Formats: sequence, C-alpha cells, structure tokens
Amino acid sequence: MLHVEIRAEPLFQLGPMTVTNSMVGAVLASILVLIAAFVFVRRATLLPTRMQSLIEFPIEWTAQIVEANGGRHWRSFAPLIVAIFIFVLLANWIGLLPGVGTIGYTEVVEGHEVLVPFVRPASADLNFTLGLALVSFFAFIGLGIRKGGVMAYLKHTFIAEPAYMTPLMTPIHIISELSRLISLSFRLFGNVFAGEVLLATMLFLTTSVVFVLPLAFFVPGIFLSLELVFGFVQALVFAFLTMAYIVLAVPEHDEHEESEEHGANHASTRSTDPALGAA
Amino acid sequence: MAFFDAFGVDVFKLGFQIFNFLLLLYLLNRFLFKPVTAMLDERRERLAKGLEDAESAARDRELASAAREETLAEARKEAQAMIARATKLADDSRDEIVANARAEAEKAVARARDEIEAEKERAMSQLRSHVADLALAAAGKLVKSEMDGGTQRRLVEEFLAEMPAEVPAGEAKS
Repeated sequence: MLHVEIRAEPLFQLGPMTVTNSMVGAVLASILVLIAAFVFVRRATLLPTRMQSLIEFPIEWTAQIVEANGGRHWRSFAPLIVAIFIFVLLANWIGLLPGVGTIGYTEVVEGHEVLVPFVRPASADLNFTLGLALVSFFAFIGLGIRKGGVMAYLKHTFIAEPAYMTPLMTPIHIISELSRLISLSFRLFGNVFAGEVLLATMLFLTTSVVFVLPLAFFVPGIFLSLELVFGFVQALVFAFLTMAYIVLAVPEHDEHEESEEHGANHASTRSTDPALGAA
Repeated sequence: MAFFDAFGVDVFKLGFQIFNFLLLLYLLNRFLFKPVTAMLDERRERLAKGLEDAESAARDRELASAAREETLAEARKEAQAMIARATKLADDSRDEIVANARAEAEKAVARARDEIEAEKERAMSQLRSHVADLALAAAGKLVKSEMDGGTQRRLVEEFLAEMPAEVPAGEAKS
C-alpha cells in the first residue's frame, strides 16, 4: 500500500537528538554543494571550462539578479541569496535521484508494513523550510537594523507614513511581516512534499497493475521532468523573495538625505508586499 | 504546538537545519564566494578592457582608412591637375606650332609671290625686248623682201608661231 508520511521519519538516535531522513537529505545537499564549490575553486581559471561554467552559471546568474535589484548594499547580502538558491535547488533535486524515497528499511506501523527511506529531500520537511525562512526573516530584520540603525528600523516598521494611520497600518504590517515566515516555509515545503507524493503516487499507480506496467517506464518520467522545473522555480522563489524582503527592509538612502523620497519608498513598502503577490 | 507536532517540527530538528545552513553559508562565503567574486570581477574587468582595446583598435583602423582615403583623394586630385596642366601645355604648344606653321607658310607664299612678280617683271622686260626685236626683224623683212601674198602670209605665220612661246606664258603669270 502507498504510504505517505508528512513528517520526516526518524532513523536513529544520536544523544538527545533524533536523526531523521530529511537531515540526511540536508547534509547530503550541503556536501554536494561543498564538493562542487571545492572542485570549482581548485580548478577555477579565467577562461572557464565547460564544467566550470556549469558551476559558475547559477552563482553568476543569481549574483547578477541581486546586483540589478538589490540596490546600494547588494554585495552585503548577495552570498546569502546565492547560497539559499543553490542549497534549496540541490535539496529539492535530491528527491529526484533514483533511490531517494525508495531505498530504506521496512517498519511495521499500525499493522501495515511501511518503507522508511534512508534519504528524504530536505525541503519535504517543514523543519528545513521553516529553518531557512527563519534565517531569511532574521536576515532582513538584521540587515535593516544594521544599515539604518535600530531607531530608523523601528520607525520604518511600526509608524505609518501619515502618522495618524499608524493604528490601522501597523497591525497589518506586523501580520504581513510574520506571514512572510509562514508563506516562505509552507510554499517550499508544500511544493516539494506534494511533488514527492505525486512521484510516489505515479510510480505506485503504474507499477501496481500488471496491465499498465509499460507505462511505468515513461509516466513517472514526465512527472520527474516537471519536478525538475518545480524544484528550480521554488528555489528561485525562495531566494528572490528573501532578496525582496531584504531590499524592502534596508533603507536605500541614508537617514539624513532626502527624507521626502525616503517617505515615498516607505509608503511603497506597505502597498507592494511581494508575499501577498507570490503566495 | 499540536500544529507543529503534526508536521514533525521540534526545536532540535529545526535547530539542526538552521545550523546546517549557517555552516554551509559560512563555508561557502569563506571558500567559494570570495574567490569567485574576485575572479568574476577580474574577468569582467578584463572583458571590459578587451572590449575597450578592440574598440580603440577599430577606431584606429577607421582613422587610418580615413587618412588613406584622404591621401588617395589628394593624389587623384594632383594627378588630375597634372593631366590638366599637361593638356593645357600641349594645347598651347600645338597652337604655337600651328601659328608658326601658318606664319611660315604665309611667308613662303609671300616669297613665292614676290619671286613670281620678279619673274613676271623679268619676262615682261624680256618679252618687251623680244617684241621690239621681232618688230624690227619683221620690219626689216618687210622692207627687204618683195611683198607677195604667199610670202606675206608665211611671214605672219612665222611671227605667230614665234609669239606663243613667249606671250601666253607672260599672260598666264600676271
């Protein structure tokens, strides 16, 4: 029977900590990223080889987007955005590797025999996506405070532009800030988890009946390629929403210059919250 | 917290994921982004420099070609001027030669005319003396011989036969 587990399954106990299969996925993704990074740094030349271009491309591409949209301080947070993009991309794509989600040990739960896979794509675990969302959340708040100062940040965040609107706007603003945490984490988790379920379902449906067995050779393939695209898009969305939040939180101008334009920027912060549009 | 429980979220797992990512971010920042940023910057710089060099080379080439074009145009103009000058010179000398020739010819004609005039004068004077002689001879003969019809006629014919040799030539040349 097809078994879907929304929680990451525990594999073994390590001291006080339960090691789950999604932790294995996260560590695997980190190791892959690091291996690629070390291979790249060791062999890097000014005239890139084909392999080097392959590794360089996502870095340069994301960095260019951050440079184009990140405003004045783009260099201070570009590494975070690029790292989120590459890490989430690999964490998503690990679920598409053969054996991930299908190789594991069997366990008896409520009388059924269920398969506990050794590796689960990290982004199909809410711990992973919520963790990243928290990092992103504290990054945009922290950068906002660091670039503008605590008082400026508090004023920017909690006092609406026409001051008499504050009682109405500030609660909305606080909710919208917090909703970013939820939308970031659940969007990624939902997409990747649903993708995993979809793949498992397709494989189960096509292999369970002998009559449609030939379909098993290409129907899951269609969904695998779709998941390849979704994994890419979700990594992109997570990384660039983080960037957008940072850009909105970091004042583009110094506090002393042009308070009028700062006000306009401030007002647009409220009206165009990308969390609402992209969710 | 039942909500988080349903998704298997607990502090340890969450903490592990955050720690894992921050560690990765630190390592990447240290070992990948700094050298890569430096390299990308250098590449961009070199590319920009290369493009600039290419542009300046193209500009130089354009300048050179313009200079060549100008030199060519100048040379062409000079050649044109030279040809014009030569043509003018040739025309001038032809005119001069023709004029000289004409003058020469006129001179020759004039000389010839003078000579003819002189010849005519000489012939006239000779003729005059001949006529006088003939008249004297004829008169002498008339006086000397008997004047019969046949003799008279023969004399006249003789006279006439002698005349054309001198007179028509003198008449034609005047």
